[in-house]
Amino acid sequence: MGKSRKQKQKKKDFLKKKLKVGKKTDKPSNHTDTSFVAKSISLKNQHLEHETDLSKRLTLLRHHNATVRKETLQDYEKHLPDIIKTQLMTPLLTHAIPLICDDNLSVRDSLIELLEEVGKLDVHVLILHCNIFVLYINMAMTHIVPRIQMDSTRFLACLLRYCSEEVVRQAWLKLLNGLIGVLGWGIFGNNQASGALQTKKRDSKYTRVHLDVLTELIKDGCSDPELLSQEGENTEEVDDVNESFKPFMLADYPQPYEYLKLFARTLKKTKSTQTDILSGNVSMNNQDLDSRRTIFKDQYLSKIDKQVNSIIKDGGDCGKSANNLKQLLEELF
Amino acid sequence: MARKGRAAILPNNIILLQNLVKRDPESYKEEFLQQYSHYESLRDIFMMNGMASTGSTGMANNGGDDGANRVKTNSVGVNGNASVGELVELIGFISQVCSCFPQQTANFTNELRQLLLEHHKTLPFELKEKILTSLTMLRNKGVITAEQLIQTLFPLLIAYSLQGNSLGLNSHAKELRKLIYNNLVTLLKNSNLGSKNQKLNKSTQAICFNLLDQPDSQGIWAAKLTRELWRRGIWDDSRTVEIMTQAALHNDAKIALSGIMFFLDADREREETFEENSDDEDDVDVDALKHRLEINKKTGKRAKKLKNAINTVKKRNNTKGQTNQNFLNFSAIHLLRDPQGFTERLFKEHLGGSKRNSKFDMNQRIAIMQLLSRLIGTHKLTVLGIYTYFLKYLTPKQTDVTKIMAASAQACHDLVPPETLQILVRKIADEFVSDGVANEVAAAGLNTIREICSRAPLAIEETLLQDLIEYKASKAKGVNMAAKSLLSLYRDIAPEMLKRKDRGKTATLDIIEKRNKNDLSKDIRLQYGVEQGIQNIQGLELLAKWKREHATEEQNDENDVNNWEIDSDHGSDVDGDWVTVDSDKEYNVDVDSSDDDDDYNKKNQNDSDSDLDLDLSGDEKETGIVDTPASAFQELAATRILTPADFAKLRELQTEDKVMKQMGYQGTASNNNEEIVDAAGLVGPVKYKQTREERIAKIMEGREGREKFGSRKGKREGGHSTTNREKQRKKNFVMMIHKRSVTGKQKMSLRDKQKVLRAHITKQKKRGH
Repeated sequence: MGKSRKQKQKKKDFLKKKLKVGKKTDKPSNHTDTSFVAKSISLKNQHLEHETDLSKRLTLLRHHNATVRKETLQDYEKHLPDIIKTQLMTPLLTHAIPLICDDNLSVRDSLIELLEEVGKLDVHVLILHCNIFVLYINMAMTHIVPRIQMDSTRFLACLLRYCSEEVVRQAWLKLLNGLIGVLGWGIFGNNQASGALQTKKRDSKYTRVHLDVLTELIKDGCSDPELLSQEGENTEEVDDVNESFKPFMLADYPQPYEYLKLFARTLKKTKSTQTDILSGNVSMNNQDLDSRRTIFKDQYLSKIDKQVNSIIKDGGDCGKSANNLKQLLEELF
Repeated sequence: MARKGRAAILPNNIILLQNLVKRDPESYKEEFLQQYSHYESLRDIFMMNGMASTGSTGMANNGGDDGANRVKTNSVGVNGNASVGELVELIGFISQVCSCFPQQTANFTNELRQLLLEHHKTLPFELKEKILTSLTMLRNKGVITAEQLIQTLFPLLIAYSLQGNSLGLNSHAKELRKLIYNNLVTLLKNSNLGSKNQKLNKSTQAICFNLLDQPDSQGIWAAKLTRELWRRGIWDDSRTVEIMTQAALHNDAKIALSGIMFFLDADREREETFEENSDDEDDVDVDALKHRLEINKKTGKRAKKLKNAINTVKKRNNTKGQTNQNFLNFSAIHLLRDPQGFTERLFKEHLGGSKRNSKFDMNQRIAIMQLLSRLIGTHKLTVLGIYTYFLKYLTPKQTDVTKIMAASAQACHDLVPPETLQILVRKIADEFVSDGVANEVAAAGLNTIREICSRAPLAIEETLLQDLIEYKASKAKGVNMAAKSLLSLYRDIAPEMLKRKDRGKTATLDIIEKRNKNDLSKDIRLQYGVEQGIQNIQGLELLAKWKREHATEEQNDENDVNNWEIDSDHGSDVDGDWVTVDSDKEYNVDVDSSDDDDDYNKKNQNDSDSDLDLDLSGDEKETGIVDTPASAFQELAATRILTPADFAKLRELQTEDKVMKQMGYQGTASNNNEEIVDAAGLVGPVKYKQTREERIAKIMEGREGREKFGSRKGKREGGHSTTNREKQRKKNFVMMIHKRSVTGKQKMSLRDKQKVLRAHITKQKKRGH
């Protein structure tokens, strides 16, 4: 015996502790207790709420997953009323418009919805981006994937609904050519027998849409909007003074002198060929009603007439639309 | 089902459509036109994007909402990316099939060129690359001419070597430059494949000239291209050389240097390429393929392979023959139009002024000196300034001084006034050849002086020459050899400048003969400007010699005419030997002459002259026919008409002679100005003490391919185990002692013993012991 308490303690330190089943091991001597008690905890980087900065989600429009693209479009559509007057619209549209050529049908559908919404809220936004629209619609019209090609007219219809005047003024010939191509009527007419193309184009559901859009386009392009409006309300007295000044005033549409191509980047065309007759001095020909009418009359009227007649004979929904078109043509020319 | 069937016919990707269009362009015209307008709209989008991006950068500078702007530029850039692939695909498609629709796509190539030329800054790299390759393809299809393509490629090449463009983000300037340059070279190669396309060559050369006219550094491409084409033997006319002279005279150091290096190295490079080409001949082994086809299963694929191989071999043979025909082996220096003017300008502009010198470093200046001296030596030009220019650099401590010395030797020829050269030689002698300097330095100095004097014998004064020749007694081998070679040179060309005792036998005899012929008072020394060369047919002396040697064996019909001459040759059979066993004989002559000299010294001077004359008059006739070109010309060309067979023989002899020369055999000392002075050889043989490793390496080299020496004891020939006999021998004696074979031996009768011994002896004899 005779060992002091201190000695005993010392010895205890070096003894091996026995582990027992069902009992917790002892905590080590240097253990620190970190537990604490609080009323609430706030973690900054784990907000469950969505971010408010919409501009950061623009890149999602190019996401590889179609669903993500669609949802992003729908999301923007939801937020449109908030952002319609902000600077965000331009980047949004420049990102969204290329989706006209998207592979996925649902994405294109939601894009149309978005555009409709934009048109309803503020037409001027659409008018401003009209040229990009026209370019991409034109691209879609000649796309090699048939579905995208078919859908291109729906976009055009949407655009015509809101800014028909601008569209017609900018790309009358281009769009006419494109539409005729989509309908499969052939620009040069010598290739009617190209079987695959023809049968594809006869898909009646789409053909109706195409025909309707064509009707709309011709109506907008070749009929005078002023006449239409004047039929409704007669306010000649005030207009009279304006009418005499009008040629000397700045035009009331954007970029009135675009056809001069002062700031445009285009490729020079050295050789004049057959294609040039149709697509050459497009911008000049688009500018006013009369030139549009004459060109249409010269180059398209007879061809369209022939095709329309054959479709009317086939009857059905397409026949109805074709009939409408025919009536319009008779009315105008 | 019906839908699916239709889809199979419908082309819904571009590659498929391309295939269809190629097979039947007329039927798929509509589809093609659709794709063409698709391309047009895509192109328009691209143009617009480019415009927007430049606009937005402008906006970003103005400030405003930073975030929005950033997003906008992003969007534009990325929009482009999304459709780049599509546009690239379309451009490829249209350029593949546009030869089927020439009318509709008349503008296409033009558009591509404009896109590339005017908007290359904004286009992405993939697109530019695609447009370039498409243009090349269109050229191959004959849609655009080679001239048009070159006119597109050159401005691009220049645009991308400009600083501003190459520093831009994602400009891929380096890759593009490489691509364009390779395209250019292959284009020129292909269009010169059959016969030379002179029109294209001329227009391209005109572009090169224009590039070099400009003061900026863009001319480097012209120089580079020209050099490459020269190397491949595609351009080999004097216009090409003219381009390079312009490059060499350019203000920009880089361009000037590339021009200079062209003149120095181009011919060697060209030869190397041709050698390489001839080396990699046996890539395709037609025989092996044929054999394989016989053994293996016969399939269409293998048959096609063989056909291809045969075609390539045929093609190669054709082109090879043509290149060999077309290829004129003129060196660039010979094709110069105005060598004197070029050399003068080169010297004045690059080495003349004191300030402008700074643009070249020492190595480059040496290169210029080398070129200048080679030009001067080859064409025997007069540019007196260069000799004083060399003076500045001829000091032993100068870096690469051997190169400068070689250049200075190269620049000498017999039309340079001796006064200017004497300064040079004096300077070399003062700086390099004195007792205070290292052996190698002295040897280098002496060798340089020898090289100079072999080109211009009057470049050295008599006293200096005699002083220098004293170095033949030097203990250092290099110096000794150098001095001796200088001595033997002057024995050949101007023995009267040597001291009497150094002249040697034949030289002395020559002098005496000359003196007898002329007045004693008349000076027989060499004189500046006296024409010494005689117009002759190259290699004729070899033919003459050959004729002489062979006339002894087979008596010709012409012997009647040339009777005397051949007779004399008969006598001098030994003479022929003397030429072939050169080194031996030379040594003998040396000994003789020294002996003679001693004799002369003992005799009276007046006597000796006349004595010699009498004694050696017979000898003189024997040695009279020396194989100099001049005498050979007189001998052969004056007496008979050379037949084609003669010329054939002549050519053969010439090549033989060249081979001998190559192997280091100095047959006839023909002083050719075009031979390049070897800078490394000037120092002479330098022997340092070897390290152990070097010594062992040398020993090992000697042992290569021989078996190892040493004892063969205890080594068995072929691997086998011990024989029974060997085992028996090793057995313990005690064990064996009671065996019958041993005890029996003791008990053998004397006769039996004798028999055994006899048998043993015969056996040993049969074995050969």
